[in-house]
Amino acid sequence: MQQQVQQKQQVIISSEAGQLAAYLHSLVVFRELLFFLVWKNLKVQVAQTVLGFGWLVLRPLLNALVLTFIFGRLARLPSEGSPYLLFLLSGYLPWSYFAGVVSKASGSLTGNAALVTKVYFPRLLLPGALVLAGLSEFVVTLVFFMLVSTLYYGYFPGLGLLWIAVPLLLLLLITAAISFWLAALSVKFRDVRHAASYLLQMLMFLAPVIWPLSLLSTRLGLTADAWVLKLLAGLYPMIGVIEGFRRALLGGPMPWDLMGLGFLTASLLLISGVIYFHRSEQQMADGI
Amino acid sequence: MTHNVLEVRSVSKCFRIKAPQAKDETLITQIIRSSAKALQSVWRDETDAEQEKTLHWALRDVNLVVTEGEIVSVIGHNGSGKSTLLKILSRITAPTKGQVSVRGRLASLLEVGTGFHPDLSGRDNVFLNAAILGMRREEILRRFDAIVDFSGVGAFIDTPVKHYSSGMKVRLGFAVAAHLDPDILIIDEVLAVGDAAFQQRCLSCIEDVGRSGRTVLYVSHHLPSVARLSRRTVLLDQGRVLFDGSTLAAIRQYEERVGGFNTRRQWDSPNSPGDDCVRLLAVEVTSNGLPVDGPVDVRHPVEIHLRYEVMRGGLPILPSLHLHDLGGTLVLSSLDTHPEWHAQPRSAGVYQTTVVFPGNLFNEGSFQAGIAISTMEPYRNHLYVHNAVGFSIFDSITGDSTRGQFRGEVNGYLRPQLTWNTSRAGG
Repeated sequence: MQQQVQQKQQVIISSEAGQLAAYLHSLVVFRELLFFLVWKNLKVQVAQTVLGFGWLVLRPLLNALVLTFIFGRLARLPSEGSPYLLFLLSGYLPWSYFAGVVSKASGSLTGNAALVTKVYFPRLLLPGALVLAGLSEFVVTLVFFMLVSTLYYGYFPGLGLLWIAVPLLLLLLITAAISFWLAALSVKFRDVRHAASYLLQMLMFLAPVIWPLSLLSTRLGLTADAWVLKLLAGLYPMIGVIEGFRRALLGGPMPWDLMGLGFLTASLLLISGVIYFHRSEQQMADGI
Repeated sequence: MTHNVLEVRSVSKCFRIKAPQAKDETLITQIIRSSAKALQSVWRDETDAEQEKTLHWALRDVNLVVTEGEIVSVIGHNGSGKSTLLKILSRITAPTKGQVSVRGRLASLLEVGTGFHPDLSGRDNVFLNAAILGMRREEILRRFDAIVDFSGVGAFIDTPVKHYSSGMKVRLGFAVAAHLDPDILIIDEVLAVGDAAFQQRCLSCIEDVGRSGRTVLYVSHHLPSVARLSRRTVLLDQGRVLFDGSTLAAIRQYEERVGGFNTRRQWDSPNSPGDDCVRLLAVEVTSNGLPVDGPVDVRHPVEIHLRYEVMRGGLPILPSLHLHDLGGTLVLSSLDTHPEWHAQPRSAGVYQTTVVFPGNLFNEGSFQAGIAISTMEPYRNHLYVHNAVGFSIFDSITGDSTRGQFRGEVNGYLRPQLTWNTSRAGG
């Protein structure tokens, strides 16, 4: 018995946040809880919606139809040779994953106050579970995209579809990074959530979701490899994400330079986000 | 040799309470100032300029060492720092100063059923709740049937929790926690809800945990359960450890602190308790006819005086008194059965009734008296004032109380003068 006690793990609780490495290790220890939280998010979503998974497809589709009518039919925005609906969906689906997860994650700590103020577990799992749970919804909508594209438009993306893994990884990185930052900030500043929902709307129009990136060169006279474009893609990784998805789904050369710069920014944001989250975690229960 | 599983070393915890904002600022200056401040405070937690915030120390220099297998209770008023201490131990919040070291797996039950989601079934919630409390999947699978059995939820296990009664939710939550199997279990106010039978089951479950060599930290206002579960109790007051030692001594100190109850109550006639038949005007505690301030010597009598007005004559009036301890347990009830007044119709008017408790009747402790006035034939209760007045009893231990020369604990509510006869039987 004495032997056992000595072997047992000793935890020191003090005002210091502790080592980042130990924190990352605790994420591994709690990996099953991550699984349960993801599973809960999925189950709750299914239980709460009458149509269940039907909603997952219906919501982006209805939005896409409205946007297609306004920007494709009325405003006649160019769509780089593809049907406008497919063009729009190829950018709108990854965008709605990003926007949906970020807006949920920014309220994930304040919304789970009962949990955060009563039980200890690495709080990073709360926004983390949302990033993973949202993925299932995203995959369902992607499959739906394939169905529309092959059955209605008779177009099936070729082997180039395999490249989708790259923008998907970038999408995960940037979504996790922004989610961690906003979740931690929203405990300290209550208006972060409102600011986020407002900014997300604005940012959608700034990303090439409803307009093609090539429009920048035709309307503003920028060449495809202008440094301004690269700077923008570096500052705003969603440009690389959307261009990447669009090329993988609709064909064309992958925008490696834009995605590469996006990876750089997203990784920096993710690392700083995890560090910031870890640093502020001890005060979270007091702030909620 | 026993090991320290929990060491709390001079832990203090400070909360900031924000001062109200100054009014004479425009929105724009407010935005500019707070954005500069916001940028600053994103990375830094404290700035010297933040003088406008006031500080509140919830814990001050708390030291506590718990060895393996001990059951320790923590008691104290609301706001004494109990919950803050438990939150620090369970890693929910960090101490401002000091350090805690915990050896082994610690599970806290700060609120039963934490994180239950109303839309999920009982089964799903058991898995989720157990995972949140730190159980592994295989452990949950192995103990699932035992958990459902203990909870008594039975056939409803696949019903969404939103359709459960509050009692069912509590039972399911406690059942999960009872099967956690931690080295150290922290329990806070579990027994505040649930019916008597379930409370009993929880208590024996906590006792089992303690008997199996695990360490339990129990926080409660329910003093009888504290007394039953633990031998050692820590009394917290205003964030400091006021007492750390035997449970009975801790409870006595706690009662004396809480015992700032009324020894005299008076009511103005429109607000006085009662109805159109009889109204209570005043209640007072005296000892030997003198007003009471502070604890009463165990050898002295205690008198409780009632003043009441009978508004409608012709009814037999029955005053009664119901004495509770601070944990709410009924110690005794007594009725006025004096032959001159009992069961006799009374004319309208103001009456004074006194009930005398002789000296050497109560044990040390605090008591609260509830006052009722009823009429008989047919029986009807006209008023009841719960805990109308209270008093404390102490023993100065001079040798002539019923404890004699004995210096140890004498337990129980009463300590009357009884006759003990001893004679040599042979030899």
